[in-house]
Amino acid sequence: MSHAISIRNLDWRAGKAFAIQDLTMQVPTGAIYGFLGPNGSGKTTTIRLLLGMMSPDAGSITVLGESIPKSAHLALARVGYVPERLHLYGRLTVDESIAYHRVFYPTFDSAEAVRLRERFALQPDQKVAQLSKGQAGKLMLLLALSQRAELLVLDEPTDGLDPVIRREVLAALVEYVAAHKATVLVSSHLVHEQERICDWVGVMDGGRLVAELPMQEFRGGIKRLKLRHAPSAMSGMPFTLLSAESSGATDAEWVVRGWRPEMQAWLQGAGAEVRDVMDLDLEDSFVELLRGARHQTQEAA
Amino acid sequence: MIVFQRIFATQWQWTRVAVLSLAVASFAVPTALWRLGGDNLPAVVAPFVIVEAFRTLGPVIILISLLGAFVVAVLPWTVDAETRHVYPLSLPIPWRRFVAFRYSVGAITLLIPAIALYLGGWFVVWQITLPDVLRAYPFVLAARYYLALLLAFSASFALQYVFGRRATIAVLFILLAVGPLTFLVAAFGDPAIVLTLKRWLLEWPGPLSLYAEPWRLIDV
Repeated sequence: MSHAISIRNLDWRAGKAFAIQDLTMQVPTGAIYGFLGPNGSGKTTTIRLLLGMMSPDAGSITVLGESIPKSAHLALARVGYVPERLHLYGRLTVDESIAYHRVFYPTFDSAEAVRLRERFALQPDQKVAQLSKGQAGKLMLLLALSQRAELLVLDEPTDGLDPVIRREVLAALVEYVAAHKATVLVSSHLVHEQERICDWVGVMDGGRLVAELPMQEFRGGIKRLKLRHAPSAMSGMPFTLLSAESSGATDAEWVVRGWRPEMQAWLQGAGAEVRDVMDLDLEDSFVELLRGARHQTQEAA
Repeated sequence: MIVFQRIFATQWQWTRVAVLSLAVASFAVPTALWRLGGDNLPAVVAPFVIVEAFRTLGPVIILISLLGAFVVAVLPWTVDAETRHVYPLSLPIPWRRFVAFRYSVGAITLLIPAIALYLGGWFVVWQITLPDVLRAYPFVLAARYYLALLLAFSASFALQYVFGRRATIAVLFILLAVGPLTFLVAAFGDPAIVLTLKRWLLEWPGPLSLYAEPWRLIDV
């Protein structure tokens, strides 16, 4: 499997307050990769590092086969980027912004830009600084899509948008991906939104990637088990135990990752009685993943 | 080339008011000084009186060049800073080349006030009947003015791109450090050292000699 983005053992530190630690992450070519994590977990910093806006302290980054930050400008010619906050020049109008952006990208499709401008109902002579948050988000997406980019990097593209605009933006994105087979890295803390469009998920927390797995596994592989006489031994488990809570003298609730039905036999062999296996919705799965990762970090400390 | 043209067009859009104001001021300075200092003189005056009418040309031009160049350097940086430099950094152009383009656009647009001073110089000379011993040097004056603008612009530009938002603090620090030091050296230093330092700074090819030598529109 080839990777549009490959990050290995990345370290980056901003003073004592925050650090990206030993980050290894692979975004398969052609995937829509949901980059999940709570606010402040390091998603934006990772994105800025992989676009060459900042230099890592250690580790390697490859984007579309180009080494970052050394050859960032070569990779950026094939990357469409939508940051979390408006990054365009507020003093230009919509059409001036398109004209400015166009000259940097040989693959820029001006006809597509006009079509999207009309679809998004953006006024050509409106100043960028006067656009609403939704309009600004649409303009940034318009520019990224008109570039005919092989890789789209979208940092919280729908954050703060109303549901109607959010749906419009996501629809345009999905259409683009279907038509151009592009790879997408989309960061968000809105788990349900990612569920609808993503086929891979990476979860960041505290500057670390705590999980990276196909969406199908994320959706179906995390379960809450109701157990009686749960074993205390942790070694040799065929799944990953994310959290364990006792309820009463004999009962316990475990949240596990990588669950398959045949693993019930392992638990029975260990003396436990499996009383129930419950599906978690995506948001609960996300929360449990984070809880498990934080628990592991605390134990390691 | 097309990228440079586009950067030029946008940067011009942001700085044109400042550049054109600077050009108007530059054009007006020789005429204004003549109106203030020489216009009421009799038709035939001694050569030194004409030269004296422009004695404040230097300080005025230096002040204008420092202020104007600073504004022309800071404006585009401020626009980039409004985006936290995310936009230029996300474009497929090496950062050094982008900064070089920004600098080049500023340097080119500063030709406009220099040309304005050249034209303003000719305009005032055209109104004066010069004695045979005097010559007008509007081109030399304008060329030197351009160099002064460029020096001030380069310093402001470098300061912005090295210190970023901390540029004001850096300038204050430099002034607070250099100011008292200059005072101490001037007041209590060895006169020989003071003289050497003064020569090194203000005499050609010292870093500030461009500003220190007399500025003459009309001379022998």
